Amino acid sequence: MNYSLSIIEKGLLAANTLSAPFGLALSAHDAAMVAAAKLEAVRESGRVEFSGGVEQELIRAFSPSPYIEQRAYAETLCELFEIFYEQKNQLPDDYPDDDLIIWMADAFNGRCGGSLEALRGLKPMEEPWRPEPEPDEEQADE
Amino acid sequence: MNNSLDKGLDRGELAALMRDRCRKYTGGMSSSVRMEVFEHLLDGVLYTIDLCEDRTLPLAEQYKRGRAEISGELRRAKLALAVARATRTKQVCTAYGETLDAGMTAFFKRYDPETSPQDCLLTLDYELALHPHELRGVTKISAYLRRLIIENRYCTMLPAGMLNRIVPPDRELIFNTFELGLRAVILTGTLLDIKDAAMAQYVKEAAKRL
Repeated sequence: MNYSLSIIEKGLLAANTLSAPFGLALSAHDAAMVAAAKLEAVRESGRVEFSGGVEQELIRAFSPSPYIEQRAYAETLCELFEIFYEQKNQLPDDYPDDDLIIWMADAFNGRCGGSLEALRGLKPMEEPWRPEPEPDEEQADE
Repeated sequence: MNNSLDKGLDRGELAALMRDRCRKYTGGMSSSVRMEVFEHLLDGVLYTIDLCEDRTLPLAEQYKRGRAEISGELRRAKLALAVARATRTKQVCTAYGETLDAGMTAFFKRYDPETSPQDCLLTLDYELALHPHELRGVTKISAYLRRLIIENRYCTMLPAGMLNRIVPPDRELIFNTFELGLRAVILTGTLLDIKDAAMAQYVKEAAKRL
């Protein structure tokens, strides 16, 4: 029941209008590669996709990132789809796609410093780590 | 999806129906579900469609009618539960009471025709002489209760004191009171005037299995 390659490709190419203002675009060849990788990510995660739109939301959220460059844009999208479906499996069934995507983009641009490996290592919706205040500092405040 | 092929269902119609079910299940917030969730929902859809007798209708309509059938079966089962409780047999094992009281109450509280219509939720520890092993969902519960009523009524027809003499003193053991009564009737050559055709058929079938 998963979406066909051609539908995903069309969705990815249509999303060029969202990424173009940030200097990012997929060629037809790139779109075919990313579509295949996305489909593989869905399969690998053991999920069934019954509705489209994720590719556009992901591109909309990640395009403004200062860490994504045109030369690695397609490969980055492939990895982001992989991470997205891995993370989906760790969330409740009705958890919104959009919320996860926003969280991923925020974490990627923030605490992960643009590292896909760091993003992959995070637990979905995990609160950012903050250092515990030193006991002396606490006393000093009192 | 192999089931759909076996049943000769239109795959396009089934895919559209499944998209709708998945969308409802996730509250429209997710575009994908885990495979096990998908399979569970598909099983529920196939169970529901099976309850519609008119195979010529579009699948969505078959599903709609199946859902109506489930609602009707739920109402019949609730009524059957009231009758089963009203006709309950006294000389029974603990599992009988647990199934009829706490078990059935839990079923009607937790049964979900939307996402899990095929689940009957209960283990039905009190096994009937003709247990509905082959059925699922509310269909199973409804059949169970209707058969239990027959067993209950049969027990009330037995000669006074018979059941007290034959049921085991340890009520924690699982035993079927109707079967014990039926066996005693056969062994002692007791004649019962069974006028109810459904009961006569049930007793005949159960006797064959003794």
